[in-house]
Amino acid sequence: MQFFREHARILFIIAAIIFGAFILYLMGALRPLLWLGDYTIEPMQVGAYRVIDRINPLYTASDAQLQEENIELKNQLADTVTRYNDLLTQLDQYQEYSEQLAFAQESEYEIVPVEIISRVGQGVATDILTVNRGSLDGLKEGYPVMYDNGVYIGVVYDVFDTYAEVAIVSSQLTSLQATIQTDNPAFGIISGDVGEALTMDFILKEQLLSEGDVVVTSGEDEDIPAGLLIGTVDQIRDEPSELFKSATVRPLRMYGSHSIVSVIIPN
Amino acid sequence: MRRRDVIIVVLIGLLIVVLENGVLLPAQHLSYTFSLMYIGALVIGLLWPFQHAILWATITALVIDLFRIGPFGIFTLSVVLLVIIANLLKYTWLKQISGLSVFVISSISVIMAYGFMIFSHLLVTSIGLLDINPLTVITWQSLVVGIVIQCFIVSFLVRMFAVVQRYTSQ
Repeated sequence: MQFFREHARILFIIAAIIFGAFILYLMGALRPLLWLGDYTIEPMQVGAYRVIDRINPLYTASDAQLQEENIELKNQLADTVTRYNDLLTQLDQYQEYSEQLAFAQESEYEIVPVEIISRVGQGVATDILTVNRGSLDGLKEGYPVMYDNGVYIGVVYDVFDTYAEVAIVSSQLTSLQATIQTDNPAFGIISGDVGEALTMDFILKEQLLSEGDVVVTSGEDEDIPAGLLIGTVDQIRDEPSELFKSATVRPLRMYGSHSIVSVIIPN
Repeated sequence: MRRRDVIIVVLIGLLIVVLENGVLLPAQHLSYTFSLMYIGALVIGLLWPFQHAILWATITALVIDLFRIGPFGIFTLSVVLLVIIANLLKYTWLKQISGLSVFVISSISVIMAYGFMIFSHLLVTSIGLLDINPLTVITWQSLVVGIVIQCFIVSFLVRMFAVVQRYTSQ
């Protein structure tokens, strides 16, 4: 305490100097000193940075090298992202195919997995999918194509050696016989309608059906087994002037590009 | 105090400012574990009268503080604390200028100054005045090594100047 009492005056002066400098700093009045430092200290700092750059590998790179490295890393990142997406796609395909395979084994179907490589006429009446397997893999016209746990997509429409075209169920290129799964099954003909919807025609008037009923393949068409899911009944039309009822069917298919689908080889 | 001494310490102050900001500041580890200003303040604080030493240390530290990363004033306050503690110990406890006593005084003072610096930086970071605590670049091992080296240098210089003073006064 005696020390502080003896030096109280100088300590007060020091406190005043620090406080004053702090106020001046806040006011920006010390900027000229900083500018002076730019001329005196900065050249030394640049030199020191250069020396440190030589010692520490982290700082050895020049701006150009860093930019080059940055571009390289960005490319690597893009490459990694692409590979990651490819792997995700492959994982999806694997999961899709494993489900289809499980369904095929359960139903005792022989299947050929195919990948959708392009889609022609999307959103119009002539929807065609191109798949990466053809006649060399055992595909023939009229073979049904399914997805997921037996969801009917369409039929093989045209076959080439290494690829084939599939007419999807909503296209107007094909039609097939279908059954509405009710207590008293109703039969009809499924064909493509406007857009993605399907129309089921030639349903007998006395058949009872309601919205939400499940529509499956009837098995009456050659090569197409019974019980493949097509969709659900969306709207029912029963005009007194018509001989038959008709229904709009909402298709179940949900697949994207690069999806794995299966062509069923008839027994 | 002679005019020659004043000129010498002013020049030493300028040299420390330039070296501290020009050489040590770019090397972040060095700027926070080894301070020429601490060494200078201790040597001058232990050899000179307290009034002169603390005035010199404050003004020099303020100039260095202008260029340092972090809130203005923390480094200056740590230097002032360093000089006060060193002189307090010198006047009350270790009155002889032996190598060991200077080393002990320096160690206690530098540890207190670093403690203040670390606490202040943590405080300003926690209240949001500073986004990143610049002291995170240092490790406690490098801090200990830095403190020991600084104290050895201070002991050596103080002993050397004491011997020189004794010979010149004779």
